[in-house]
Amino acid sequence: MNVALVIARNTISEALRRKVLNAFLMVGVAVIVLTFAFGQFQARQDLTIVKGMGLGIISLAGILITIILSINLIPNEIERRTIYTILSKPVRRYEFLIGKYLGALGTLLLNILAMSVFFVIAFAIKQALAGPENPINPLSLFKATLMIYMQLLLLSSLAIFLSVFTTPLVNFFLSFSLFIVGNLSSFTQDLAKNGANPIVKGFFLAVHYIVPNFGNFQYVNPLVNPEVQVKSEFLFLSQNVIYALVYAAVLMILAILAFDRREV
Amino acid sequence: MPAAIEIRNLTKQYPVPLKREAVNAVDNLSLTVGEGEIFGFLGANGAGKTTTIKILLGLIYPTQGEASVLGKPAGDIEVKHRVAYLPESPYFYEHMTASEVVTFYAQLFGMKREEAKRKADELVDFVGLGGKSDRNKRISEFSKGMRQRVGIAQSLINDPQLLFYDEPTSGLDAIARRDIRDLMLELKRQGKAMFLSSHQLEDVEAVCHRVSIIHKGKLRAIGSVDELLQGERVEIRIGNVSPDLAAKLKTTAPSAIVVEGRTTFTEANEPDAVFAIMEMVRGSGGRIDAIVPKRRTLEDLFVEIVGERIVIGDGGTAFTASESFPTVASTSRGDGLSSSAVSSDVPHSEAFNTTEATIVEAEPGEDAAAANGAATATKTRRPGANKYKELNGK
Repeated sequence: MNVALVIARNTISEALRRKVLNAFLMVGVAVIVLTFAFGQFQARQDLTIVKGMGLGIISLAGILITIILSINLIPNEIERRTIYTILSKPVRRYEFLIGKYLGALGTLLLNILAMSVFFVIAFAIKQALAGPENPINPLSLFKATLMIYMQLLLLSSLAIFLSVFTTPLVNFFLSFSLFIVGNLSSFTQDLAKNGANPIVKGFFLAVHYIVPNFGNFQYVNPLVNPEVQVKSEFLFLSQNVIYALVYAAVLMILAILAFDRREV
Repeated sequence: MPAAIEIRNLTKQYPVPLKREAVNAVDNLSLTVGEGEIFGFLGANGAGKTTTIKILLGLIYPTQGEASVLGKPAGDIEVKHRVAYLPESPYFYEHMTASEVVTFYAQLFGMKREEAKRKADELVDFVGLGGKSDRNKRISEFSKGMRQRVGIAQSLINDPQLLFYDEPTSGLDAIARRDIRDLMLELKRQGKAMFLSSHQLEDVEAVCHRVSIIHKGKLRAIGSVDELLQGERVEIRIGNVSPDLAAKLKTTAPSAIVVEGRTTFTEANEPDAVFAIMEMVRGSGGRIDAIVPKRRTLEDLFVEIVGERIVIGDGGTAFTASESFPTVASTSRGDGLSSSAVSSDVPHSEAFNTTEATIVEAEPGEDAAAANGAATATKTRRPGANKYKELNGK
């Protein structure tokens, strides 16, 4: 496992230098700042909208960073032939794959954390200036960013799994499409129940159960809309964390099995 | 003593899109490399050299056949502690310095960071990148030759028994090539075994104990450089060539191309053939300007095997390799390398690797499997043929 950590550290160090990923991070931070600037010009701007927009931007920037980072992790190593020098060392293929995945997770953690810290501090200042009747603890926003991170952890494992046997371009559209379909799980569930014929029902049932349910991680609603209540916040958060970890583990096991026989 | 590399009947096929048949990148290849031996693996681009190396390292899998490295199946993780690989035109993480790159690879062997860093610095010095200006440079600022040195440094981090070098001097300028060749000679002095894939023939000639030539995935020749090049020849220069003589020469020596009444061509150094040409020239009023003993070069052999046409010298004088394809050299080894260093217990590979240098001759259009097994197609070169001296005049 030590080898996987060496590869992970190297992956993070390389990813943090990638201009395209840093651009998304910078744009994310910039838009968060702009959100607060607009708020100052509109007196009736509600803190709730600011929360929603801020978390939405973190999520969107995170999705783009995750997909672009993850779809290229393995193909880049093959294309540049760095994988030859690595796999000719005493590195098992699963260690390499896990190392790349851990590197992706580390990179995402740093990116999401950077945006979140920026967002939470800015929100705390904004809230202090606005002086609302029922202020919330700004740190509670980290729960939402935790959910965003778990969603991205799952998305990254999906993209890495697909990258074992698709090109980055195909993988980009495939990962993005599956992410959108996974966000519409309640819709696919309805179609599975109320479909016109058994084939349609069966198809949407399969989609509903196979595609990860990315919609599970929407913690933005309870934060943004006070009327949306979560019965047990702890249960909600822990269930989602476990769901993401288990699903990602399954995807990584499948990726390892496929990569083990792949010719590089 | 086990062989460093043992390959038996190795075949690697790749499917062709939209076609039923597959392409053989490596075709029924068998050879053995001894411990401590520097083994040249020659072939044109696409001959199957890199594919073979990748199979030996477990990066790809053979369609048929077996390969073992240091006594274990190819790709075995334990063996990877004792081997090293330098791919062709290696790429390293651009944001790192040479020392950081080598440290990273050292850590893949489980070394602690401090130890890895210390060894990396030593190796960076060894390959000549330890100077102050180079030490702080990122790989992105390195020339191709410098990257190649980094590649060599990373390949030595585990003090390997066996090195796989794939085109280590390809694309380098003369100075960089010489430097890399010197590094390889230093590794040879240190007793490392090396599987050196290349088409830089001078490098191979300078460094290798034994050489093999692979063409279209098939083994075509194997032996020490001296053995392989013993098929001596003579260069015959003829002047005053009449059309009648040109026509006669065309049948006897197809490689003779007449330009402005003169021709120069190369023939096997066999008395009957040479005397026949001399008689023919004298009888047709031609003039023999010179008969010069010519040592065959590795390039001659390579080109003959690969079957490409090359031009020698001025005046359009040329020979076609397939036309002047040699008969076979079959001699005892005399390079001092212990015969026991190569395995002789594999019947199939005996013809290729023990005490004979062998050229497996392919007939035009011949299927290779037949050619590969065609040790019977080899002949012993006649002794005592090296007695011609340069002649002047008619």
